[in-house]
Amino acid sequence: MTASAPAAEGITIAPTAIVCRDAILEGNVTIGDNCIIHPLAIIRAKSGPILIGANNIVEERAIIENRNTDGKPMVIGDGNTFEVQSQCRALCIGRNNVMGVRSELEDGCVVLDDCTLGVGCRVVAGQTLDVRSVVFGSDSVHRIAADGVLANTTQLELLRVLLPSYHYLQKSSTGAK
Amino acid sequence: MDLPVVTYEKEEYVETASGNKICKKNTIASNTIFGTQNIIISGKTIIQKDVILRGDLAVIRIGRYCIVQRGTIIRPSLKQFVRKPTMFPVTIGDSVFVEEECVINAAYIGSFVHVGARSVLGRACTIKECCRVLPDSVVSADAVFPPFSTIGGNPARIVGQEPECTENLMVEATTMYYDNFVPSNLPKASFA
Repeated sequence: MTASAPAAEGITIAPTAIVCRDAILEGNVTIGDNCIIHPLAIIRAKSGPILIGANNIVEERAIIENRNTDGKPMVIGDGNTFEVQSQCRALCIGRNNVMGVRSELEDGCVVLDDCTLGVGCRVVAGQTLDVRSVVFGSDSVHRIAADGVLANTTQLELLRVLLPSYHYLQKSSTGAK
Repeated sequence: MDLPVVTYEKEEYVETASGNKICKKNTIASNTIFGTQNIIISGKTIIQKDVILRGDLAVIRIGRYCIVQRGTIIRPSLKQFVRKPTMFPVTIGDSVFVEEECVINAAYIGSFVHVGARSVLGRACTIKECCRVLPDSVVSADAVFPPFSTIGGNPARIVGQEPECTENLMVEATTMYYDNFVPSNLPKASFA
């Protein structure tokens, strides 16, 4: 399956990114180099654009939504992983973060670098996660880790080989071929 | 204990020659089962609405008389070995009951296991035969649970023991669920 369908208006996808056609992209979304967007991921730029950097992974049923009231863009850095069913409505996200299964970043959160969110953890509205923060447990306890998060490069390489052979891909309508 | 009759719309489900009932009409997308060539379902298994099976990542094996309820995601997990990363295949045994909205990243689920609603089974975890995972549990990555354990909490621990008759109970429950899972427009059997 190498055939690709043009993405909707306003969506810019870097030529090296892999965006499955079953992923749902709405509004003004920019996806950077080497990103992997799994099928059934949802990226909705409702009230402002979403800028996604390089080397990010967005898994199925993950929701990235811009609900900033003043129309500011949501900026996501490089090397982040959004796992299954995670919800992200943050203001901006730094580098090398892992958003665990079913974790939730509420409106206006700021996440710096190397943070990890555990399964089902929740970061309440307006909170800032410092560098190397870890949120874990059923009560969403915060702690600062000694080490950073392992980069997701090997995972990216594997998915880069796997996904195009099973899925139709979306290509940018405006960007370079 | 008798399970109630569950009806489904006949046009939403596909019944295969081996008796699998698989939902083909989903609310989130037209197709949520990926990589069908890598999915092996032995027979008499029910896959309900909005279930995501990621057969594109690795092989998924599901045994007989399994029930996978609405909204569950079964996805092979990534395991980082020294050099090269590998996707772990998912193996699910016979008569396994998976309730709604679970996320299953497990490497192995034995036969006669009951997984409660909204549970998350972490990366490459192993759950042996006759276990019961309580609802809302979070099983951590690489965890291994022995047979006949009741698993619960976040992170999940063994909170009790299952009875020795779990095998019979689960076989009875899953076969009854399968038999009571009937299309809504089928005429009722008469007992006259």
